[in-house]
Amino acid sequence: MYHKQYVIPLILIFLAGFFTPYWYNAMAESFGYVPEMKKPAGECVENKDWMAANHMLLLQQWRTQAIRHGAEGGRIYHSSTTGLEYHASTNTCWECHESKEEFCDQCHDYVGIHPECWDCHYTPSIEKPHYQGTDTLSKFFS
Amino acid sequence: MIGVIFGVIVPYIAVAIFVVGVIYRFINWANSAVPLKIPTTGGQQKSLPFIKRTIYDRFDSPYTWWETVGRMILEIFMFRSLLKNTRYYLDRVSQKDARWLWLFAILFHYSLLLVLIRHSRFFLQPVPEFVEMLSEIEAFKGVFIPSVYVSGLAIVAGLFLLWLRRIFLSRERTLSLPSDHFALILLLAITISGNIMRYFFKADLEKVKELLMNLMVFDVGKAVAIADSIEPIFYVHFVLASFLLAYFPFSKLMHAGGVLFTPTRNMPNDNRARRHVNPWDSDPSVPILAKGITVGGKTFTSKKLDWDTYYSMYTDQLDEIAESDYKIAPEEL
Repeated sequence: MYHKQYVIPLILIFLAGFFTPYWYNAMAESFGYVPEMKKPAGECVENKDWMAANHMLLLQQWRTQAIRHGAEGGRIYHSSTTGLEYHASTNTCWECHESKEEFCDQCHDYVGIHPECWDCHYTPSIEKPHYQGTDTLSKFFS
Repeated sequence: MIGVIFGVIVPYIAVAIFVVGVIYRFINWANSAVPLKIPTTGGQQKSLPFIKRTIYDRFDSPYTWWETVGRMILEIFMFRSLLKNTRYYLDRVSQKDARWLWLFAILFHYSLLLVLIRHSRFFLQPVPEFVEMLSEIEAFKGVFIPSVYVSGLAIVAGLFLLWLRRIFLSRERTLSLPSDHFALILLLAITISGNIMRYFFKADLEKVKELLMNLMVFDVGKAVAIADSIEPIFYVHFVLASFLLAYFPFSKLMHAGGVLFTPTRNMPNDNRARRHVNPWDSDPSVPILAKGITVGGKTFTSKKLDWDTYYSMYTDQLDEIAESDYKIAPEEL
């Protein structure tokens, strides 16, 4: 083999690069990590597996229903799974899913997704300002 | 069953073929001798001190180790050699510049880099900060719902442009082999199926990452259990990507590693200053003529290159030319 001083480091760099997950996960001590979600109390509006893949489409549809047809009573969602009617609002979700951190964020952090919905919209774990004098308010209004 | 085959067995085999194949190709290339110094140059060679060299000459006709490294880095990140073949790409009649290959190649390769970095979120736990940030920047986070990743669309565009170039430009069509088309079609199938999965037929990504994390620690039992519950569209993407991995080391796609082994790129042009020793030469200290040169079945030896020996080596050929009255006729096939 010619040019061993270049070829052997090249092979080592290739192996280190291709097997990045191994040394990265070893350093983070997260081999085979699987997120654990808090099991919600009730039944979901749709099939559980379908929701796992498509909940963002459902929320998008609900958003459209609320914005375009909300005033005309268009916020009724007919479930394809159970046939029941639901109010097309994230508050329907929060009735069962009591914590965003223990349910939504588990998977979202797992695959590195940060939906910007909850920058503004209500979640049960939102930090609400309780009026305790002007000093504490400065925390919420800089 | 499909999940077990395509989600567990095929990726293991594909990764094994990829890693072993790439190392095999590296060692195979490293074992090949480079008997001659063959750098392709496009600039002034380092010569007498009064012959000036500009910065372009230093990278186009490198002399030192660092200049050669600079040329390799520019080659790897800028694909400079794709801009060099002006005899092929500049139309002499219409004076049009047809160096599309460079533009399309840059578009494709940098999109591929971004796509690969984004895909690392399925393998790394926790997902690195810069991967999330890069994804959010290229998606213009908040503009579209769901986020539209620019690199995912640009890679499809780049591949289509590269492929249409092979189909519609007459010279490229003539040069193209089935393997050229196959590589592009395979990559197109992977990228399009990935985009379809992202925007139209969703798959449960949490399950996907769970599958990959279990595959990585060889927890086959759990992986098999998860594999059957993932949507079929994921397996279209995943299996094609596995095929690509397995196909990679033995195809022209291996240029990713081969560029580092290109003698015309990675050799400094210092032929006049430093002697390049042929690794096949059994004893480099003995001049080649002393060992003997075989021309036309006869071996000639002499202590050093003198005119008489040199002339006697080629006398027959010169006589042949003289017989044909110094006219060279095309060879009859």
